[in-house]
Amino acid sequence: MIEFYRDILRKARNYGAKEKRDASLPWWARIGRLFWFGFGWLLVICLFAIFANVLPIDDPLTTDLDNLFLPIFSDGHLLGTDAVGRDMLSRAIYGARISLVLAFTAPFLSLIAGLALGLPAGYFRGRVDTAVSVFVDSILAFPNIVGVMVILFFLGASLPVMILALAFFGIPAEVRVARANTILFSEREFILAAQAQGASSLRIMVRELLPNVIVPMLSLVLFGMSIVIIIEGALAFLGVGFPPPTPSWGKMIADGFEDISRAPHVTLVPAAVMFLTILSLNMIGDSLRAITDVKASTV
Amino acid sequence: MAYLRKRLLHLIPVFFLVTFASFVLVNVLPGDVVDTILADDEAANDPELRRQIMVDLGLDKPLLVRYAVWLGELVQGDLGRSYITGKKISDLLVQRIPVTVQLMSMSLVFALLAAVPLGILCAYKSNRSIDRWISGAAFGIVATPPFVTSILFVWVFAVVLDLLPAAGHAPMFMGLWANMKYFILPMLAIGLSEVPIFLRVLRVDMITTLQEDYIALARAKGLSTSYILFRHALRPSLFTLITVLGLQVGRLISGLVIVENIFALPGIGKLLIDAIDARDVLVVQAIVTFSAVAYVAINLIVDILYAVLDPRVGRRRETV
Repeated sequence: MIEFYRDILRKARNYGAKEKRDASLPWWARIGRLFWFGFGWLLVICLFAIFANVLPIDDPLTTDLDNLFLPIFSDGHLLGTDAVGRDMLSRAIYGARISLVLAFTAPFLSLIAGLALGLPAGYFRGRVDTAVSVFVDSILAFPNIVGVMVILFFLGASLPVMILALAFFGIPAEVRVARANTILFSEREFILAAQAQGASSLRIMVRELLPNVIVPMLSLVLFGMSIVIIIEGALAFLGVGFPPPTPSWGKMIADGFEDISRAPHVTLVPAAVMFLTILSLNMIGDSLRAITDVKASTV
Repeated sequence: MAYLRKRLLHLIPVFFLVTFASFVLVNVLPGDVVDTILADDEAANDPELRRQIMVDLGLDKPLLVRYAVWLGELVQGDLGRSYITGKKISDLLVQRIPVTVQLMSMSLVFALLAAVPLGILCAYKSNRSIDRWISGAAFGIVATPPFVTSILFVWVFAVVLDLLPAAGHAPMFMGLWANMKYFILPMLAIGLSEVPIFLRVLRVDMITTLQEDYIALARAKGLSTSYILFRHALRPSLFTLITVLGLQVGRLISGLVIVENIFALPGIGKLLIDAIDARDVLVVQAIVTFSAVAYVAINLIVDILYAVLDPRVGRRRETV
């Protein structure tokens, strides 16, 4: 999915009358408002998640049977309480932890694996390329949510297994972009120069191609992060896969869903938090891509 | 045809890798497979049953031999029996497939009916305000996973407006509307998540097409705008969309699993989660195998369609 977006948006941009960003502006102005919106939201979520223990919020697991289903903006409970009186704000903050831990690990592992497979595939082409593409197409045949779910089922649900499973299903997108960009850069003069100087293939890939190829892949990592959060949410919502000791957004949405006719906010609040987070990651990814694309075209 | 042969040669190893991966799943279970199958069962200590399961799974033979045997049975449509219910898994799947296929095709039709006109509109008015609004909405939909969309729909249409049932299923013989009303919300939830993808693909291709000389010629001849858009420009702009349709099957299946469970539709996705809850190992394996093989098969069909539709394109698909 992501690789389509990449390609398509880039093509669209070439046709577009999207106003040319003034090169004289400082970089933080050029990158656009959407980036800073996304970045700001993500920063807030990260800080809350990291400092959840020291923040003046209730314990996410403490129940209060006198205050069930309090609405948003209740006294002492900014986002209300759920079916057993637990504070929603606190649960949303603690719930961010699991999503963020996964989001900041799995996509980076996918990136590394994608580079390890995509660089040789694009540089050597031929049989290496074929082997890699068979491998990648095989991964694609397993729908990612189903794949992660089933791996957790068969291998046992634990955090490392979940990270690795998520990383594994993120590989195809990274490989495609790494490969495509490697092919693009392999035709450039500086690669020919390196080859003429007798540099080894490994050196060319690591020293010459990698720094160029990795730039456009970074925005892909951000889309990968949002996909990871979606998958974790879906699995937690279905009650399969990873059993978190702390609350998770997907679990909160699932819990609240049972009482949706009575207190819709219990399910809509975590859904909104999740939506904003995914939206932010996509916005950052999109803005970064816009910037890195400009760079790639002027190299 | 060289292109088709190449694709076929490519999909054969993919098929073997995919089925092997599904096969290995049962063999990587931590601990004893037999214990997992018989978990919580009072028959767990029955040596005869344990031996029977070992023989059924062929655990006494080498891995590759077992794979070959399993694959042979798979090709004949024999997926074994569930250890929980004792039913033939192939029968279970056959029961569930119609619901899933109905939901999947309805969602696809909805997504296309929404995305194609919008994509044409966006391309025609590219970078005007209507295009920006639609693209912005698409950006928002991308950030809303199907399970969140489902919740919103249940809340709005089932709880607040009380128009449609929140969950359940009625077989077709109870009447078309009785059957359809349970499918509308799931269809919207899955279909909507596909719209932005189809929309963007079509929009980009359409913009390219609209810059072709023959469009300018059609315009110069005085043909109406809608005639040009639908009769001249749409067809050559559809190829990437068709490719994407094939590649989206995986995403669709993920969406189906979630949505079927939220709306209690008895399809394959519901079966999968039920099997996971019941720790029904072989059923889980069968569904994974089934969906992966379906993905490979559908992409093969797309490849064939593609080559048939436009003999020129051999390389076009590879660039996607």
